Amino acid sequence: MLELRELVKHYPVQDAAPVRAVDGVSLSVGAGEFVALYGPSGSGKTTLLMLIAALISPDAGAILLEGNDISRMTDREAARYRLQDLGFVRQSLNLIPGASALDNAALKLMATDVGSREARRQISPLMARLGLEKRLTNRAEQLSMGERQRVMIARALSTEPKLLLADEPTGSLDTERGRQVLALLSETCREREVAVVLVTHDPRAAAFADRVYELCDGRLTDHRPDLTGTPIRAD
Amino acid sequence: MAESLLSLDSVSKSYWRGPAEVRVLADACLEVHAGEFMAVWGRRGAGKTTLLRIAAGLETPDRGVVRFDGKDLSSLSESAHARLRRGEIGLVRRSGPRSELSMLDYVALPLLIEHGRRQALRRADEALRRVGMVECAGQHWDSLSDGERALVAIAHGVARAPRLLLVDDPTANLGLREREEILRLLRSLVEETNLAVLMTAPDMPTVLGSHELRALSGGKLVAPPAAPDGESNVIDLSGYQQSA
Repeated sequence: MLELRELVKHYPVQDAAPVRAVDGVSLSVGAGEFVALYGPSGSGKTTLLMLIAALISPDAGAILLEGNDISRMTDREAARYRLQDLGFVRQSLNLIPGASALDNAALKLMATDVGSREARRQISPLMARLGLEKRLTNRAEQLSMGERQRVMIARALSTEPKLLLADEPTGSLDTERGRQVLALLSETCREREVAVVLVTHDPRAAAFADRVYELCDGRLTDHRPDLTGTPIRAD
Repeated sequence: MAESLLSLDSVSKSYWRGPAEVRVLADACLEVHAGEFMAVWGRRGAGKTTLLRIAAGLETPDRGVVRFDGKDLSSLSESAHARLRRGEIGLVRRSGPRSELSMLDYVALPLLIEHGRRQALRRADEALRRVGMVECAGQHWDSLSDGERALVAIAHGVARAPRLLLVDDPTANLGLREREEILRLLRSLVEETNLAVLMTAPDMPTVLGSHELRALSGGKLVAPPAAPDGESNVIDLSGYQQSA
């Protein structure tokens, strides 16, 4: 599904050597597979996600999604790719105040050519799968933080993307709610055969993945980080 | 003077921080009229964001009355509350969207609930044009400077043509020239569209271009001393740019 080939992104620094944010990363992620990139702040995780989202361009290498190099897309094509083929879940919860959970989840679908009524109809089963069937008409501000993040996951998956990127998605949640959200995220994406790339500095979050790589100074290492004592899977 | 669009009458709000009660608003009073630009400044943690959230109806005060267009917010039904927040009150957040969408799609998002895609995009385009950011319609959040992000956040706030715009510290991290641009934009929106603006800021120079000014300190909203007779309360920022 997703293949990164010798991906490089350096940032120039005045009077100093460039920062090697991403430095020759190669990685393959299959449909329905959940890969976690684990590493401390500044290790290059977010830069790597921004490259995969076509938010920035690599200095070298290729990013192939189903064989198409997304780093060669025009700005317009990249915007379309992010709207329709990519889901992105972040720590920040950008819900519209005063709008219902259902409308907030359906917004991205509405932004494609799907009408608002049809978008609400299409997303309802996904809301139920994420345990939000009794919260559809509740306003954004009436939802708990965990519910808000589940609405954001529903929004990200609403266009049936092939790939979902998650940047510290449980950073604003407590341990238990974070565990529940990640369990739902991994199960739902596996069912829908969505490839997931999660970046996190939290070993408990990384433990939900099928494969875990450590990112250090822009390079992937093939050894599994120490996740001793952390939940491997939330069944 | 005409009846205020937004009024806070003896509003109090406290939080518990561990065992300690923190009183962020204490009998705070405020009136904002249509076509008026009100700025509130106070140090970090003074309660500015809480003030805006209460004004938006996103939080309820412990005591006191908040009225919008003469109606007590606590007496409104949930659906009337929601309509108010969706349509009549715009909120510009400091944190911004961190959205992977194009800025046009991002500004159009809240419009999609009640309008078709074509109309939502047209109004989003108008909002971006109004703040001078239409050339950034196809760009994404991460590619914008802090000043451009502040302008797009304002476009997002005004796209639904609200009557009241609540703006949470829009000039954070901005240089003086960009601060001026934001303040001029807010003033022109107020003067040209009769919009009411309530803006918070962490320091005094930022808010000098507003019509009205209050300091938030110790939970109280305090008006500065009146300008001497014959002088305007509106202070021109141009001298600050030269001295910066």
